[in-house]
Amino acid sequence: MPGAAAGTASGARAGWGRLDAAPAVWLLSAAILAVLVVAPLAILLVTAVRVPEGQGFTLANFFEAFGEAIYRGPVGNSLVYATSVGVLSVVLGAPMAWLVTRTDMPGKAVVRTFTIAAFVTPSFLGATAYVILAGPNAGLFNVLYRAVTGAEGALFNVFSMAGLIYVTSLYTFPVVFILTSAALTATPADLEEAARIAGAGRLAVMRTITLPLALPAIVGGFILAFLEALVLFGAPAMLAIPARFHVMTTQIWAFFHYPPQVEVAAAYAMPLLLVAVVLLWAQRRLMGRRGYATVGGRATAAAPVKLGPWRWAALGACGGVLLLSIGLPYFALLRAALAKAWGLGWSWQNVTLRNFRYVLFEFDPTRSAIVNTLELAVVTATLAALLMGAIAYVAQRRLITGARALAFLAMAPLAIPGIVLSIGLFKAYSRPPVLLYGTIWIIFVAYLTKYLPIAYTACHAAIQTVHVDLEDAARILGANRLVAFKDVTVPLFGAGLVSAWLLVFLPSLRELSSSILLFTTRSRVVAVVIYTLYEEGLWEAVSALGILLLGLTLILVAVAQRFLGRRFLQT
Amino acid sequence: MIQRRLWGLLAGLALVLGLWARAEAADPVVMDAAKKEGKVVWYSSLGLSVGQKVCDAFNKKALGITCELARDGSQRVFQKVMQEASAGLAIADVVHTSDISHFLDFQQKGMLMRYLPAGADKFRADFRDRDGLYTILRGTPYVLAYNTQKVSKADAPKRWRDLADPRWKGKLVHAHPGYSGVVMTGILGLLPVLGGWDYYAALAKNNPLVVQSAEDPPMKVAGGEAWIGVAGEYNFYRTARKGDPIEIVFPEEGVPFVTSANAILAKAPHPNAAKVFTDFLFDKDAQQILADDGLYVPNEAVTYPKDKRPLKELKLIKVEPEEIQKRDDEVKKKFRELFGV
Repeated sequence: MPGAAAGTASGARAGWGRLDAAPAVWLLSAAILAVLVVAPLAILLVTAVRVPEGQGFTLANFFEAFGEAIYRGPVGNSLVYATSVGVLSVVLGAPMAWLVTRTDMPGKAVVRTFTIAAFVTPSFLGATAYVILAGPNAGLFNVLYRAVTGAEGALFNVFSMAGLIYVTSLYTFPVVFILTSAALTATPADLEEAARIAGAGRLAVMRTITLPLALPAIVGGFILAFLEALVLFGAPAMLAIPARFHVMTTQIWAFFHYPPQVEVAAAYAMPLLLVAVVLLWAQRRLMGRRGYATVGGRATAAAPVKLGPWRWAALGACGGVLLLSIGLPYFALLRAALAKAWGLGWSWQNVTLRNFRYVLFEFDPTRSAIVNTLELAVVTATLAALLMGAIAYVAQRRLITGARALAFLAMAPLAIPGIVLSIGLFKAYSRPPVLLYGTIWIIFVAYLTKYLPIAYTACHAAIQTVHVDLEDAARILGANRLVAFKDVTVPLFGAGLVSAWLLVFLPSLRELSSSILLFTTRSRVVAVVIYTLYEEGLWEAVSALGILLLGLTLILVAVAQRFLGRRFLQT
Repeated sequence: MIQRRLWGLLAGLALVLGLWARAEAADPVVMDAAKKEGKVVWYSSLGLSVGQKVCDAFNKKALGITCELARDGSQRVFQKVMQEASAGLAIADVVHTSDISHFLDFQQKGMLMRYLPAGADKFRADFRDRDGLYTILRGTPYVLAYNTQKVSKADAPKRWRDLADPRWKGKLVHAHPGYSGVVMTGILGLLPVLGGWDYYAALAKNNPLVVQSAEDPPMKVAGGEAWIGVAGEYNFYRTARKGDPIEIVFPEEGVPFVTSANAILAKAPHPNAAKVFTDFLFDKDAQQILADDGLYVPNEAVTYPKDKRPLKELKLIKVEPEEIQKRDDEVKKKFRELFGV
């Protein structure tokens, strides 16, 4: 009950400080969340049980969607795909996070920067680059392999389930990396040092201290990577369909094709929602009773673990991952970006800067798209971080009953594929009183909804490390909840908010799946422009714009690192 | 310098005079109303650079009407028009997608305005429509093409049936009829000519790379990932023109002719501007822009690039839009059965 919480506010101070803002903040956040998440979800649910082109309700859509074996197969494919991507992302991301935050590995800043570059690479761009690198016939890997071994076949065929999992993981592992490194930095190394002093071996410390501390973040990262793969469209469309199998998102897109079966598509999307619910429930069961709060905040920057000669091996491993995820794909893109016709291959006659000039100066939509994208990313990230910060705080402190339900709502958008989300949003905001369609603000609502979960996860992971005792201490000393929040929690929690901001800002730069149905002539974004060029078959221009997007990101990351210093992504 | 300016001035003068004459030709009542409306919104799946050129050319005429182009893929143009209509939003005036069955849907839902552009009676017969609700804006034959660095001219397939030869196993690329209207039309055109689905069953044994859009095969063939691909002639032509090593083949059995329509929406917010724009779209200047880009157009006053085969030399296979609408599901199901997706 909001009133109950308000009643606990201490009245030691006069003026506005008397007012406990928690219920007000909660109510406002709850209202915004309800509008953002409940509206499209409700539309989705209603659509799934509606009679197509008629009146009344029916379950026939579900029979249509799951009655035939060919439509059930993709459900299994999607589960295999998403689980593998989640596991591989953890296998890649978590150790790298540990190396960057806890050891004396050289080149940490570079590893971090390029991991973030992987984070903003649109998956369809990565996938197309990998077609060039690992296509069975002309892929550079396979051409090289045949040249070296004299073999006939292909070493690695990117058009396969394995290829799809591999390529997707290269661009989802940064989520695990960022969350884990944030959690590791936020928890002081004192505990590990104490264990070491008490005689525990390095492995024992890892197993009993470091891993449990980072576990919420790792599990959160796994879930995000899993769900991202589950609703991903770009990479599967380019790799799964040539490999002759569907995943759920490509099947949903097929339902939208002529003649569109919107109701069947909505019914087909329901298992995605179900999987998300189960996962979030499992996460709570797994994590629920453990307390991870470490009172000191980020007090001490302890001496890093000495890796000795292994530090170079560690750097080599990180470098290897980044070479596969950034180095080689962007090399392939650069090669196309500098070519007059990329099918002609390397030669000086074929080199030109024309593609860059074209996308920057001649192709009208690019510049307005860059402005739109930056504007959207900044506004979305700011709002998402503030909103989710407030909700994570209230939920974690259990200030109000029902806060957990809010937390669940905040995670629900994860399970809605971008295309389905945008249909819901379109229906909700394309007629008075809320006419957002035709402006960039409907895209803003889509981004905000879509990135609530990632912001919530980051905030939640951060708030768990700030122990409630600190606030209670402040309140015993006479501060009310708001003051305690302002003076104690915010400084400790601030770094978490910044990383939440970046975790929303960066993927907003490359969002495609919901923008593509909501954009109009006046509201294009960069990813839409890239995709449009791709559809035109202007592969050289696509590559040029992809490289510009990478450049823009690297500049932004460098600036952020300069201004935030150690607080940048809490590392 | 001065000379160039003088030429510019003369050209401008000629343009103004030309406009004068043209403006006289159009219905003055419509023209006046169109000027009051001020703009026309065109939802178009025409290639971006071409679409923009057409719009720019229209704007250069300075009729007091601005052309606003919303370029998108055919499926999404269709989806947007439908979803805007269902929300009661009237934004688009003129619609063009490459998939002609979309227009049957619009027609059945009563979404189209009856209008034929000026001079429509003189259009090529392949392009003429029957009800005056929509007009074919462009067409392209459904062909195959090969990578000249991987396949010699002598070895290159000359007939559709050659693609089923096991020598091309793992070397083919084929777009998907569920995603691409070009491929849907192409398959329906070829089925009677090649004697039904047996041909596709044999093709499936050659394990072609199945991609989504008709723009994909040219890229895969240019890069050598596939040696031979199937798509619209226009798709290959534009890639080849950039200098990519692609050669187009018009198979002996004939080539299905893929046509794409253009229409005015019944609820167009700028109906008069839409009429003026539609006249312009089918007039020689705009049609020449399309022809220069490698499309076949209804207006016979245009000249085609020298490397384009004249339409009358080609053995075109006509596919009725009703056929596409009727058999859409069958083709998708059968394709999925044979190719797995």
